[in-house]
Amino acid sequence: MLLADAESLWPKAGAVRFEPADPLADRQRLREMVVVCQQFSPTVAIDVAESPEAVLLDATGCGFGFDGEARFAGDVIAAVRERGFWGVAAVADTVGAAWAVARHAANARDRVLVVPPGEHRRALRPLPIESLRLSASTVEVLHELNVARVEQLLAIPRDQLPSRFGVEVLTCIDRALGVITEGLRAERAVEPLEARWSFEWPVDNAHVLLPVIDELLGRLLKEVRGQDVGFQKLLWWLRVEGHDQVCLPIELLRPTAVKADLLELIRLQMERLRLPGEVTDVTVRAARIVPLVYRQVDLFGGRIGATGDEDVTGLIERLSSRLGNAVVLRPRLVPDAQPELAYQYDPWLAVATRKPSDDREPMRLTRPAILKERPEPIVVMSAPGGSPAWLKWDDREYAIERSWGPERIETGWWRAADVRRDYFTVETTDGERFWLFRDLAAGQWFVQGSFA
Amino acid sequence: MRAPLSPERLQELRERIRGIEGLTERGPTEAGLSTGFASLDRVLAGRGLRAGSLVEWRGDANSSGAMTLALAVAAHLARDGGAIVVLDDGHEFYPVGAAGLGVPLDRTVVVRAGDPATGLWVWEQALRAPGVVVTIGWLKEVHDRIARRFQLAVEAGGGLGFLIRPPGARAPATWAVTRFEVGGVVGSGNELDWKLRVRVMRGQAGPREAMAEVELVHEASPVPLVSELARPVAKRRKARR
Repeated sequence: MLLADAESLWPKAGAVRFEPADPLADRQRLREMVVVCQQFSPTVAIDVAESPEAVLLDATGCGFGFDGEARFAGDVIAAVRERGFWGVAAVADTVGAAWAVARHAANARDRVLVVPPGEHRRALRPLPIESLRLSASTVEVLHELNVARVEQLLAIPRDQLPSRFGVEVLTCIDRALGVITEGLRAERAVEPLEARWSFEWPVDNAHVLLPVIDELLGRLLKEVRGQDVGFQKLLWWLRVEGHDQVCLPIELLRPTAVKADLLELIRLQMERLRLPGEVTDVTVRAARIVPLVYRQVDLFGGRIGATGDEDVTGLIERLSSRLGNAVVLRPRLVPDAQPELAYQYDPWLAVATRKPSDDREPMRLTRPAILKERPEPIVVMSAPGGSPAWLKWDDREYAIERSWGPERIETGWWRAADVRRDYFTVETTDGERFWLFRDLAAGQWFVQGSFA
Repeated sequence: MRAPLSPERLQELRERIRGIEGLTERGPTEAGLSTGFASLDRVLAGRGLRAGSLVEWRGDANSSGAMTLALAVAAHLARDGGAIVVLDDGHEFYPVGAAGLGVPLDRTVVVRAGDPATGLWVWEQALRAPGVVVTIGWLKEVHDRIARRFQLAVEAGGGLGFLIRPPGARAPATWAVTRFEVGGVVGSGNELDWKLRVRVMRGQAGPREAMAEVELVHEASPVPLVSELARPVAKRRKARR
């Protein structure tokens, strides 16, 4: 379903939220699921696809402790549900068959599907060819030939498949049927790490803290050395005598295992830190540890250049660390008729892993570059219902040379406080331009923007 | 009474001052960065803005297009890549209007610093970041020492700093290599097209101040941002002087 179709079915103000696709966040959630599933199996992996959708468990011998494979899979689903997600569990002889059944079985939400030993070929036959994890281009070719289900593909003589559809088809079939053994690359989910320092005597000088944090960071990084992981989120907090503890987060767009980088961000936070009392303890926790491969995320879609991208990423991290995430923002347009609601700001650190959207509009001068947070009331002279001819704002009077409008903007039943406004762009005899509106309900004029 | 300085000596002293201010003459191969407006480029030294420099934009009135034109130029400079940092202490930057001028919002970092001292720190950080093409924001008062720091930062970063100054602000040295004063031309252009008069007070090609006219062109989008129930109609009135 296209996004536009979905939005027409579920209006924006309703219970359904629309969010841009975020493959990295999906992967992070899967990693969290890996930690959950490690209690069930010693080998837990994430699907190797570019946009993985599944957690894979080696269930060999695990059913014994759970009174059968169905119970085993049921407990996995229950653990996932406890954390607010729903899932489908499939147990089969091969990874490919389990993936296919879990992904493509109908009405499978929160269900457990067990394919009996030796039956995986039969289970695969009625499923769509997409269940074989073929590439999109191969699936498209097969659909053009009306090959929609696995059984149709299996009916084609095996020796003809590589020449007609490429070697990939055979590989995928063999993986699903178990002709080729598919190993699981166990995910090493690293638990949060923590290091703590207790002072012999409480200290009240923030400068003393930095060498201590330096030492604690060194200890944490030593724990993950050689694992190709870095820290993406750090928490550090101070226990202060007679006061609540001070807790400060550090978030990074890209994980790092470089102590100097982390220390620099903490130093920036410290510059604004006012200690309420004497510090007795310092704790540093690596709250999010992720593979360094995530550094390959392209923040700006490759439009800044490799080194520039790094520099801007570093800038955003520095600004966010010192000032907080809420003031370092990425704007985006929102399809809303009401001008002050036609855009939104997201913290850069929260959206950076998402694919950037191109909000570029062609050059238009119907909207000003400056918008008042709240429209300011003004005095306007105009013919009844007509264009403004004179205005007085902030004790200054302006004669109007030209005006464009009205552009009527109304919001209706879907919003509690609806608006009915006639907008005008006006040009004064001094060459200034303003964006005004007349509130049709109250008959009052306001200035909302200026072409400053 | 001392004898007047010779023209050669005067010229030498001028050059030394310009050198201190970062205004040394560019070499023949050092071309400027195009503003996207040929008429403006023509009157600028090096036919454009100098990379790694500060540019001061001042409106001749509150709403006479200095910020609008600066954003349009920033959008042009960022067309091939790079980030734009907007310092929006007043919470008045309007992304819809900026997008209309071509500003790539997905590469725009808006910072709302909260207090002036923090704002100055953000300016310096952004100017120093090499991936930032333009750092833009209002700057009312600026100490010359701070301005000098800005200049050094932008030289290190290689981008441009667009300092938007309010009309009537004092004119202390901002170390800006280029200084513009922008005003709207009354009753010009078709529909919403907006002709602006730009006085180049510093950084011009010749020895004296230069003037250029640029036109921001309104092009109707096939997909309007809002449904325009009533088509805007231009009305012209006789100027009241």
